[in-house]
Amino acid sequence: MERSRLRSVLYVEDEPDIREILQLSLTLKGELQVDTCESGPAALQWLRESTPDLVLLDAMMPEMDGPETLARMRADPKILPVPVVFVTAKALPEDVKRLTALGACGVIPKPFDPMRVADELFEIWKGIADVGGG
Amino acid sequence: MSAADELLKKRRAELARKFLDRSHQEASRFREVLDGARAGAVFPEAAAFKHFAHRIHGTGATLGFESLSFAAAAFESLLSDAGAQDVLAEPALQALRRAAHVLIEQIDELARRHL
Repeated sequence: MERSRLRSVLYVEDEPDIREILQLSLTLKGELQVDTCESGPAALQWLRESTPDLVLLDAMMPEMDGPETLARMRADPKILPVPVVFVTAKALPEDVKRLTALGACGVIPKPFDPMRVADELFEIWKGIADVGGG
Repeated sequence: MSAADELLKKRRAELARKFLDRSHQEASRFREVLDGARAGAVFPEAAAFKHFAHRIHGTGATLGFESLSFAAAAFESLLSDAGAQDVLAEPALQALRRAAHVLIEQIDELARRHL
C-alpha cells in the first residue's frame, strides 16, 4: 500500500456531534474521504469490506472501547493492518504511552480544534509514512 | 477566511446549539437524580453520569465551550476516583454533588445565553 499521501480515513466515534464535526473538518480542510462508524462492532464489519489509509478510533466507547476494537482488528484475518490513531480525552503522557504500546501510531487529544485537527492528523501521517507503515 | 473555514464555523455553531440543548435536558434529569441520592444507598446511575461527563468533557471545548469542558473533566475525574461503586459514602457523594452542580449551573447559564 502506498503511504506517501493520506487520502481516506475511517473515523469510529459514538458521539454524533464530534463525529460530524471531525468528518466535516477532515473533508473540508484536509480534502480527505472520511467514512464514519458509530461503534467498534460496526467498524469491524466495515473494515472487513473496505480498507482506508488510516483508522481514527475513539478510545472510550460503550460496548466495545477503542483498545478492544484495535485488538479485534489485529486478530481478524479479514482486516488488513491499517494504521490506527486514537482520539481521546485521556491524553496524559502515560495514556499516550499505553495506547502506543497497544499498537497506535498516534493520539489526537480531545477536545480538538476543528480548524487545526486536519493538520494534526497530517503530521501524524507524515511520521507513519516516514517509517513506512503502521 | 476561506469558504471551507466559513462552512466549518457555521456548522460548528449549529452543532454547539444542538449540543447545549441536549445537555441542558440531560442536566435537569441528573440534577433530580443527585438530589435524590443517599449515601450508603445504591446509586445505579453511576454509569450514566460517567457517560454524561465524558461526553461533555470531550465535546464541549471542541464546540467552543472550554470552561464547560473543564468542569466536566473535574466531574469525570471524581467519578473515576469513586470507582465502579454503586454505593457511595457520604464524603464521595458530597464531592460529586458539588462538582455536578458546578457543571449543571454552567450548562444552565450557557443555555440561557445561547438557546
